[in-house]
Amino acid sequence: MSAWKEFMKGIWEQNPVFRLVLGMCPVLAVTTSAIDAIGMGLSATFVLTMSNLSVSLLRKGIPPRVRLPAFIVIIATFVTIVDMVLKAYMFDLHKSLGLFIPLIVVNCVILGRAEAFASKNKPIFSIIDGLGMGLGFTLALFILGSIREVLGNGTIFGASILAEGMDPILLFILPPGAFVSLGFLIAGMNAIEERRKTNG
Amino acid sequence: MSENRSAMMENIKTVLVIVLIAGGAAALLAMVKLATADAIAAAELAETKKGVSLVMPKDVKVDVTKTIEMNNGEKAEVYYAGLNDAGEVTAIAVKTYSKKGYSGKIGVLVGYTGLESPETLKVNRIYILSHAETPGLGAKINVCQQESDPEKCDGAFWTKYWQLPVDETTLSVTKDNPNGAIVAITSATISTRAITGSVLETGLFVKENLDKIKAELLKANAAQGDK
Repeated sequence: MSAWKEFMKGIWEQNPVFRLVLGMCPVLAVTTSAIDAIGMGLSATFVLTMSNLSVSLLRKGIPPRVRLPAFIVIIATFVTIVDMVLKAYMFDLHKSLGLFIPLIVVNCVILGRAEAFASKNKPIFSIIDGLGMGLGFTLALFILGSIREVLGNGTIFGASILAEGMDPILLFILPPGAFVSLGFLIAGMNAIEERRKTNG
Repeated sequence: MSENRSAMMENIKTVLVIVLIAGGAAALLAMVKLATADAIAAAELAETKKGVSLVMPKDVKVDVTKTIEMNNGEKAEVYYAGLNDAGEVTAIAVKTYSKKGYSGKIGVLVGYTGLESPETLKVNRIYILSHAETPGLGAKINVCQQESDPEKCDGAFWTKYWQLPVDETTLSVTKDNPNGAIVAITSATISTRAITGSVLETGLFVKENLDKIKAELLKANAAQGDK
């Protein structure tokens, strides 16, 4: 098992958003701006990495019958930590992400990785898997958030990029914009993947 | 018999493991809570300061450390004095909350002006301090809050309350009272009602106790100013 491969699979091959299409709720909801997307993505990455590590360390001690409650307790703990730390040091981000931070608990990417990967693999690989998946999730959110912020609001990281007299396309900030952008991104990724397969 | 016993042991082990994990989680959370408590309190104070300066008219001086607590019916509210240059209370900001939100408490700051008499009392503006309303629906109460000019926040939730007189008819949701001034956010009538309710309730309390509140605030200001 190569660590690099484990890491990269989360970024591209098994990207949780574009390939596995998991955890769509925050993907569609908090990607109205690039900064919110990054905040959400990094919070989820921290939770994912720490829960993967804990689950992997405890994997031999947790009886299979109660593994899901055990995983959820572990995940909820790290989510609560993120919630408190964000509230303490990044109050504005915490306020704009609002309910989506506590909702990381039910993000299926995290439980999915605990169940499918961390409970079967060594801690070091579980950390790498968590980081790869988390950063893949962050990257996807960031791309989607940037596209929507640029097209829908005419800004990037809050700085205006539109020339005088140009109007942004409001639709991209609204929920349909999320679906449309996500659809095009997934289609684009599939097209690239197809080409790679036929060439390779 | 021995089979029963091993099943029993297995059950006990299962329970123990879960208890241990939960215990470990609780210990970890307690540590993080202790470590972040001061920073969270500071961040909340900073947020309150920002909110108070937004809900008060620009021409008053506010010191958010000089407050009084009042018991409005069943809940404790914190009052901040907005002083003019002559040292008179010309505006009041109240930190209150509503328990009637769709999901949990909604923390609201309301600035009141027109303190000359109970009849002239009006809402200056509101500011949502904290909420856990549904993203995309009730969470719209949070829109455009950092802006101080209502012209720039076309239709944002806080602008609905801008400069409204405090009376039961005006401060009601149009769905409940056709003469009300507050049009509910689409699909978030509960959030709108909750906030409108607490703005009105607090406003009526201020109206009734206007002189007392003003006197208390002046007293608090003088007492703490001496220190």
